[in-house]
Amino acid sequence: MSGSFPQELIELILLKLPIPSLAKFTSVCKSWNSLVTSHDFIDSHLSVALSIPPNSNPTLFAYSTVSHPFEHYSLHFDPNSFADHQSIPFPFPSPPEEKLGYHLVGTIHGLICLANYTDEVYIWNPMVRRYIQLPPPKLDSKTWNFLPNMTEFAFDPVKNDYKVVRISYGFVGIEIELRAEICSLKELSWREIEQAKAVVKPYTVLRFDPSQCFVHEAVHWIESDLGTNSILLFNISSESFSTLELPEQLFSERAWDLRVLEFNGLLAVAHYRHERESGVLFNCCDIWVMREYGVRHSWTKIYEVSGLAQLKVVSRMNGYGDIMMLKVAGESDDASEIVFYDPVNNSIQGTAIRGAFSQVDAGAYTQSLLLIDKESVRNDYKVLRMVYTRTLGHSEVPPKVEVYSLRERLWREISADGLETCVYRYDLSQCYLNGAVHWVAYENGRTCIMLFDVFHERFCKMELPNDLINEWALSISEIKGCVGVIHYKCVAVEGKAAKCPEIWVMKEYGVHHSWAKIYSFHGKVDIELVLGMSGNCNILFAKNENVRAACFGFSAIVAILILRCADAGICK
Amino acid sequence: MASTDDKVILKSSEGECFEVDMAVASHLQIVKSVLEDCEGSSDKVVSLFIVEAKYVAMIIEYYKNYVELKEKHEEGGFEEKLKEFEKQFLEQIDKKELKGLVMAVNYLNAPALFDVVCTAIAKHIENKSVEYVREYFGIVNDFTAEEEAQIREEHRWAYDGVNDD
Repeated sequence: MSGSFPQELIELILLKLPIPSLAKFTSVCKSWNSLVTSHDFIDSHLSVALSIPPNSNPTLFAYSTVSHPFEHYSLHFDPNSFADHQSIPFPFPSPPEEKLGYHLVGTIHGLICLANYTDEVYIWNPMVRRYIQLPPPKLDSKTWNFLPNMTEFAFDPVKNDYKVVRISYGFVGIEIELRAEICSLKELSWREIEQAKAVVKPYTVLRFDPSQCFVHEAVHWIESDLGTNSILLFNISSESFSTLELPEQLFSERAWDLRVLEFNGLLAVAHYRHERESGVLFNCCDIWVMREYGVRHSWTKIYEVSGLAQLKVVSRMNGYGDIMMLKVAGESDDASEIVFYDPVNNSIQGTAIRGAFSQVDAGAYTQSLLLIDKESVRNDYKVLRMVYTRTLGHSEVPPKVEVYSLRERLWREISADGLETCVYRYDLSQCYLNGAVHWVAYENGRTCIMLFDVFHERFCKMELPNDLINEWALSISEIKGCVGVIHYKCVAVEGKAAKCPEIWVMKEYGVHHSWAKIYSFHGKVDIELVLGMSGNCNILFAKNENVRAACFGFSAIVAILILRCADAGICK
Repeated sequence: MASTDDKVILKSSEGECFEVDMAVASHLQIVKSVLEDCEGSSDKVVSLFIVEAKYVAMIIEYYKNYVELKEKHEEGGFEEKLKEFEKQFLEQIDKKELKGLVMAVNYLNAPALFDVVCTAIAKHIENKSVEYVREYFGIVNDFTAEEEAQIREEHRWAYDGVNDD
């Protein structure tokens, strides 16, 4: 048998490769690249990953300690030897102290949802080392909520989409109101769920609980209304709220002592109690499961974990149905150890992970290729509009800034942070590079480049080369994948002023000392205005005699000289 | 039933004939359907037009052991014994021959062995360099140098720990 190797066999072989190898082999050839990053392949890969029995999946640990506030993420493949693990590089900048770091919202299909207390929400696939930041929520902590919001991460099997739900309390006048909004990975914009106001009574206390409970296509919270507990749920496909009753025994327990969790695909509630035995206080924990979802009398107490002096239940189960707990050594929490408690055999498995934990989470982890395709990470078109108000001949700063997104199909006002001093656009030239739009701006009489990060919707300043900071006859253009600036320099030629444009390029993006003057038209041609770069790297410009035409409209330009950059030594 | 009824002859692309027990040959879906199509005919020769003799031999060896182990370990333990045999079976096959074998198995439609060989190929290439994989499958790199550099940059971390080819 000879000839080329059949493509359909390639696909089946690739499905058996580990993720790092797949990422590596995207550079084998175009067809491998488009195969591995195709939705069909990502889906097939996920189906294979989901068919693996949960106890063959690694356990994901996420924790941060007081002494090491940076987030630790690691995968543990062998439940009997926790020392054997693979650390996951944490790609997010460690936020300033007041931001309190990130917390793990949940994991689904290998995606990890993280949020911090400044309303930033990320969806991250550490296996392909890619993440996406969700757009800023509308109900943010600056303008709306006064309590930490509750964020949940869930998968909508109907739309095959991943969704983040945020519930938060805020004031409307002097009244407290509870509102909810949702953002999906496909839509990438926040929508308010109006039904929340009608369903959830304003004075209901919702248990703020970082543990995730996404079962039966719904996320769940413990709800306490005037001392009566129930479960509030949000169905992720129908995007609607409803409530479930708890077992009678838990109706009037303290809501703080209840926690929703997932137990082998069932909705479960952990109830923490204290028991006193010969003067010693023991932590106890009952685990209830709702055997038949939605049927109240199917609530059953399956475990009664007692005698847990020094043990604190943390949250979810790993793939073995074990409950993760913190073992507290002595009086202080300083040297806690993460352990797993096997409720069936009443035994404890240590992990040797010790410290003073500020947050801990763990669970069975599915390894997937989601987000490996660049398109899913960022795929939207936006229009940026900056409106300057003019009073008494002055433009007021900062301007009003609005963004229109094709995905969201609406205009929304965004923060003008960074534009307080940078104003005045000299000309209409701009260049789009590295996910940002760049233009020439002025700041206190000095020239600089302003850029707008299209994805994060942030403004930022970039310095020009020192030779240009006092010049104002500048326009910007992309030159061979770099930010280029054209300086319309005036020089004296035989006693007369002559235009002599010069071209500067920032060879390494963001590196100030990489600015270099790559070309000067001095004495070569009579140029009035450089119009820009054509696709094949030629510079288009208007000749002197066409100045009028150039000023009144480019369409009227009759003669355009084309100078090949290659001749001028710009092309590599 | 006469003993010849339980035998079938598989003919390789070179015309070499292999006499095989029906219990073994029935694992090859293509043989099964050919025999069903010409039921009643006394001629029990199946031509495997495009499969070389060396691959026919390998496939027969695998399924012969498969059938024997299954009979011997009916009570249990078959899976483990089969795993042991598969390891030993794959060790004697040249890595380049795995490609020919997987194509042959795919043609003969033999699911159990197909999975084993796909896994073996995946294991073989997982830590190899991109250049090795291109050579192994006879793939022409259709990226320009710039495109390739850009794609490598996207997943730079994935290129650590490449084994010697």
